[in-house]
Amino acid sequence: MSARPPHHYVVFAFLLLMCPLIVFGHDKYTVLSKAKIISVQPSRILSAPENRVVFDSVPFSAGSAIPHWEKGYLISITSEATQPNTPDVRLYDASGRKVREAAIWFEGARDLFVLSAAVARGGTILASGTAVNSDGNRAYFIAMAGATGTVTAAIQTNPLLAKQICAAPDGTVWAFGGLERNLGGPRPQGDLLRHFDFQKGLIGSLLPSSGFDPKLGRPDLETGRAGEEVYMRCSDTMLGIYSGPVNEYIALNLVTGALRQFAVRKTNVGIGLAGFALTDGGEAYGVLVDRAARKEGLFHLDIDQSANRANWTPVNGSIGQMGQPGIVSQLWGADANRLVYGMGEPSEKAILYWSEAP
Amino acid sequence: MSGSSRFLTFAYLSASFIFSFFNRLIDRGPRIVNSSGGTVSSIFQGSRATRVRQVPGPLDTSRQPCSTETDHISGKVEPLSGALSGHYQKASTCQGEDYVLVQQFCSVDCGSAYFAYVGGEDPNIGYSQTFFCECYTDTLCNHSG
Repeated sequence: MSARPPHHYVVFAFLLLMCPLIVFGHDKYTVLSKAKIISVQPSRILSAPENRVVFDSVPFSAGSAIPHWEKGYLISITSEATQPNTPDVRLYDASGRKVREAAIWFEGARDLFVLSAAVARGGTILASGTAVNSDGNRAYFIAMAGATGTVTAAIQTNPLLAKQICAAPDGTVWAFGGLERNLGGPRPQGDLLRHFDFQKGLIGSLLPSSGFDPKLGRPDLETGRAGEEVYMRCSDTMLGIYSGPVNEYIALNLVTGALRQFAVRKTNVGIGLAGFALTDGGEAYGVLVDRAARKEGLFHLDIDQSANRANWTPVNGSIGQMGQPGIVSQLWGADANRLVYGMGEPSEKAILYWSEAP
Repeated sequence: MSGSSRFLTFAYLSASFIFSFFNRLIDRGPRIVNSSGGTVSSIFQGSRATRVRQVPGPLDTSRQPCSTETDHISGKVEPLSGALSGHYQKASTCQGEDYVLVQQFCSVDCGSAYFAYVGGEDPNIGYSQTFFCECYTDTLCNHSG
């Protein structure tokens, strides 16, 4: 065998060095596998914040669900209610002040759990969850709260437990969740994404549970393990579900009704998703958190329409060591085509930043 | 149309209007429909409500393969409401899909070495009626239990 020229060894060494890089390894390249660069995207750069607002600290305090930004409001939920007239969903406007709240409750309930909340046109609060009565029966619901903050309309959604809801521009509601069983009974099969109307009840459904490999887990079920988070976000024209348990991004065009499912390339075991946003332009973003490496930052979900695949790619200027200034640590949501996010130390949690989506 | 038919039609419409009017006065609660579009007077009405266990059962200590007392970092977070025992919480951590934790519900900082979970019941199933937040080490549970 003839000797290789020296520059071959340089190239070989370079490839060897690049192999172990994962998403956090470099700002320009996505996952590298088998010494092959799978995807190289044009650099996305996070621009300097256009806005910085110090919010009321209540939505970020212990005991409340992690809030999210939607349709001009930060939505904050207190997950459990045990009595009526206790506000459990609150809206904060862009100035950081609480502007509306609702006490979701039903007569006959002993406990009530709000799992998701959304804002409809005009700032109307919608909420979904489960109400438990003294017999142990559970009514899964989607509720609408009027201006006074009490429930004015509701839909009983059993067997679907709506864990994520979105308000459609026409007043209807999209819900994604799990099909729950009666005690000792079989788990129902059916569609996991359902469309409800407060007058007509169920008006449409998609995404059969049988379409998911049960070995991967349930697409709606967050296990608590990093990387298995579930989010649903909507714009007026698009609905996006990120399901970590089954590694899928599900996109529904609300105008055409076209549903697409994209396999999300697994980045690395143990990388969590701290927030997910869908812009009005239909672009999806997330904050990935690698607790082992103590790195985090903003990523864009690149969609390969032809291959039905999706891939997280880094947004330059947003990624680095956890807690460092300028590093995006939480993505609260999208405000039209701007991202609403948090940076830096946990003590700065209540400071929200706005930047144009890169 | 005969006179009697007109009278019957008038009487029917009047009765419908009066019934509807008083029904609105009496029913001050929210309008609740089920998935089929039918109006019900209570969110719990009908056989569609899902019945689940309503009280904590006996603690099954044999199903705690993943944690030890030292894994539980107490005092770092505030519980949302009265929490059950730590043992029960950990059993919840490691069992199957009925006893999951829902990370999104937790909004606490556990410091650099730990991450926050909210535990307690999976609201789908309702083994307990309690939510609480805790901090665990990343390696607490191998989820094989």
